[in-house]
Amino acid sequence: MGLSKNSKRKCAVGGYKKKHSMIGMAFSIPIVIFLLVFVLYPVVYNIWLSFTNASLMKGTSEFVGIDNYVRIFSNKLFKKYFWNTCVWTFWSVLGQLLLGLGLALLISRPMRGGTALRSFLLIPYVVPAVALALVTKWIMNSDYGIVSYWLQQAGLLDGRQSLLALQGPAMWVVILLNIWRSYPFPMLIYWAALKGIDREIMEAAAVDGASKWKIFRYITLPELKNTTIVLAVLRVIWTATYYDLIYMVTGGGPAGSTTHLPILIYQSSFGSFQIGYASAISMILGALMFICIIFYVAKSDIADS
Amino acid sequence: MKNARTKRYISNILIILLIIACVFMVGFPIVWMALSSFKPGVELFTIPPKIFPQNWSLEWYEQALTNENVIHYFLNSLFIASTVMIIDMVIGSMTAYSLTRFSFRGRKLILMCVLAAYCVPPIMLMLPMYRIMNMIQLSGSHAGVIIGHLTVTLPFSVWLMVSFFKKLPSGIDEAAVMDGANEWQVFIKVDLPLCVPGVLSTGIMAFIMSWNEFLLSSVLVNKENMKTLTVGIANYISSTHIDWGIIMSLGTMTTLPVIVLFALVQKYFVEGMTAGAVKG
Amino acid sequence: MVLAGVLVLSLAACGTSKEDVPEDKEENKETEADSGSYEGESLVIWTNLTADAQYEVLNKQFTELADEMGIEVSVEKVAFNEMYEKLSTAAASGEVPDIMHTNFGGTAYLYAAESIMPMDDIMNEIGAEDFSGAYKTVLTGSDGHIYGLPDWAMHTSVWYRKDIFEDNKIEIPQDWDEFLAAAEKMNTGEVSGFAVPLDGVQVAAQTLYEMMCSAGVYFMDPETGEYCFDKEKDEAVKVIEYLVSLYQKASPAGSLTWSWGDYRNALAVTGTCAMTLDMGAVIGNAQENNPDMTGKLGCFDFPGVDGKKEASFGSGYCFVASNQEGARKNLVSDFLTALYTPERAAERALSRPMFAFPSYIPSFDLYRENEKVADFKAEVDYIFDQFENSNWYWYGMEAGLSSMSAYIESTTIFGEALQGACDGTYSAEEAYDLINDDLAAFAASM
Repeated sequence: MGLSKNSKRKCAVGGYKKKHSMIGMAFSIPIVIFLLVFVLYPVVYNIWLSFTNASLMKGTSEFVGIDNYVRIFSNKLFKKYFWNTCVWTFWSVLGQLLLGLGLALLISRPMRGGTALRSFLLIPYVVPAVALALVTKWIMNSDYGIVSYWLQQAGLLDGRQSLLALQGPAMWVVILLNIWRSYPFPMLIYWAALKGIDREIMEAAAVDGASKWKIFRYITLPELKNTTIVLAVLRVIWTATYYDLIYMVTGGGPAGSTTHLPILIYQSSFGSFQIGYASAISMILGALMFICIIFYVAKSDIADS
Repeated sequence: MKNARTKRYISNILIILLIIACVFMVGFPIVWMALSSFKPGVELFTIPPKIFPQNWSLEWYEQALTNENVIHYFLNSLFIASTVMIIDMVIGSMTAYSLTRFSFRGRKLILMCVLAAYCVPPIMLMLPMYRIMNMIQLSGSHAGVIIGHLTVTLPFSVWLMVSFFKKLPSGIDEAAVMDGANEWQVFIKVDLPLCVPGVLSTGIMAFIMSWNEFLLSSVLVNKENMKTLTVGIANYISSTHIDWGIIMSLGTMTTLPVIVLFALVQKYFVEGMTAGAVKG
Repeated sequence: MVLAGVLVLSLAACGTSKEDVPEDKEENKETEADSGSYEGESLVIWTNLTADAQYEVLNKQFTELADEMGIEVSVEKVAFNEMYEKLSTAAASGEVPDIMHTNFGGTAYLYAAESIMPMDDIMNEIGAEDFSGAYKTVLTGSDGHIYGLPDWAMHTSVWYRKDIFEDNKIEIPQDWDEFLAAAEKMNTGEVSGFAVPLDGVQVAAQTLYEMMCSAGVYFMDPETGEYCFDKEKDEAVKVIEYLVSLYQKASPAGSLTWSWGDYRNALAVTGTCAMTLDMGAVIGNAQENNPDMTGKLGCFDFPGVDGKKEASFGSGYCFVASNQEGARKNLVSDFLTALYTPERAAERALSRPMFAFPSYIPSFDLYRENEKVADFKAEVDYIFDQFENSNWYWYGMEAGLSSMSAYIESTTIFGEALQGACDGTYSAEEAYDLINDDLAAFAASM
């Protein structure tokens, strides 16, 4: 599409156009070099490793074909860890989009101190995951953690128990932490999108007697559809590959209940020294993420000129 | 009408309660961390835990700040994050300019590669990255960490900036060209100034991501005086005991600067992001 | 012809340098440190000891020595929980530090990765007879060479609250049933009888291993060095069942994810546990955060199943050095030799928050004279005695240096299986199978 339009114009401007686009291309050279050396090379290297039985302990490496992939799918623990990844990603993303949208609606109301509230609500975005993770371990300690104490007093938790030592709740804790850390970004984007919605349509609808809920459901929500898709793709990729938080809060435990694929990749590489096997898992994770991106490109106009 | 007024009244109260809940939710972990960092050793383990320190103590800050490595951690993080921010802004805006204002063969391919790079799990980069750094003799240096952080931040930055540059009306470039400006001048004098909020907010995000990054920083650096704050704090969890006091004081010292910094530049960030960065 | 000439020349060169070496060493030994020859050289040293007290002593000794020898040292901390990540990334790219101060597991890893050199010469220079025998066995590879210089070692015992024992009129338990009964008896809402810490990183494996050892179940056969955990299923399942019953009947629920710091705090700082297994660092925690508790702590050996204890779990640190040649090798050798003076060896052992015993015999007296240690004379005598007379093993190295040990330390299967067994996800047998499948797969690839 874009090309044919250009070629028409090209006739008018002639050789200039060609030189012009060459120079334009030159502006992309730094990123191309960077991607080739620091992204493409590691990825190709990983693809190669995933077909070998490379060991990080003995430094040996033999080509083994698709053995690693076969092993992954025949491992019953892998299914559990894969499911954990889905749970972690789904609820983290859903939670941060809902919370983000809710808070965006709150701060888009005209009120005194609105800007201050908005600034305040953005704070979690900059809190380092390490700090958050360590505070969490501290407040969840079964003996002297304040949150554990409150829950124990309220009878919601057995004495000397911690949420982080229970399989289901441990996953909820890391998901909630992730939501806490990530909601400001969707909030801001939704807030911007809400500002962009034509107020006149809403006012007209209100005059016609539409309830607040109906206005939200039939006017606001459809307007936010595109924003939501983009946000969801962005956050799904970021969440599914995010490692730091779980590593520092639970390390994948208890009993593997918070082990998701990035943690499994780390453990397979540096816990079992099977870097070939670990590479195969990371290929699977990378490929799934790539599918999300294809979906995104198809849905958005980012690639159009 | 009385009914409407009570309704309004109730909804106001609900909103205020909601705001209080939000403030508590956001503030609690940070405030708890800061308060704990002022508790002397014996108070850290009181059962039941007390919210406020009984004897305010600066011992952990003293311990942290008299440790010369902590100063190093801090300066390292600052240096690395600032450099990453600048490189992201420069390369990101150049790439976005190239990909949105020109049409050449391979344009879509480059864009796809940038997006694909965003999909690469950082954990997958860890080992190859370490090898490359050794190959080019950057292992253990700040340059190595900076490159590591760029692989994580650049794809996202380019993505963001592409959406900013796309918003510029296409006519302005041509007008400048008619006036005799070359491509570089159009970039520097016309397009870039129009995208300042976008470029700044991208830079701020890059800074924050780099400041908070843990995984790659921890693999790429071993020397005490080269470590970043995040790695430095994590190392305080040792096999013999966990120095909660020092960890809380370091956590506070890591968190506060970014909060303050962010408060200062937030105007640009909000402006940039709301210029319609991610709309699809 | 030319080739032959070069060969001869190089051989000659080798010959002369080899002859030079011993002379050099002699001189160095006589003049303490003849700095001239190493001027401008530098050494990279890694240590796992990230706690300030320990790191500072090491760093001080290294810098002192470097000044004497006129060299540069760069000391880098590698935290315990990321040790294998660091070691494997370093080994994968051939960037292993010159010297590393690490535990037996780290040594086993570097040995398997062929990244460290035999130390027989250096040990002989210091005096092989000055090291206790048990440490030497554990560091000897299958080729008969010794790969590490033992620095200090620790011994797992049950550390307990004397006052709680007295209040409950409990005698030191002599077998597993008595131990469980004692733990249950002391278990109240506020204070639990015994802590079973099961953090996935190393802690779960260590807790299990002390119980395995005392029941005579091992990973590698102490006689043959073969993988034997698969042949002892019944016994191993019983050990796991016992661990689970201790957890369920006497341990705080949250201990499922406790690491070292947590259970040490519980015993020595908050006073919420009556007994834990530990290598003695609890004393350090008490002295630092709750000095009143220090006098209330004592230790005894974890009992055997029917009273007779087969062996116990010992651990320790040593120095290893990467493969070096020629002058660099001499430098490393001189540097390490100089670290073994009675004063320095004792100082290093004492820098650990208590109960790390120097493995260098000439430093024993200095160690015992230290006032912190003298306070615990009974405990120290007792553990010294255990070290000298009874069997102790380090997991996976029951018959000498083996990569199995590094694997046991780094795999997370122990956390998965044992946490799962304690919270009811797996039966003891399933937990055993998970562990055994994982280890057996590794053993097959060894």
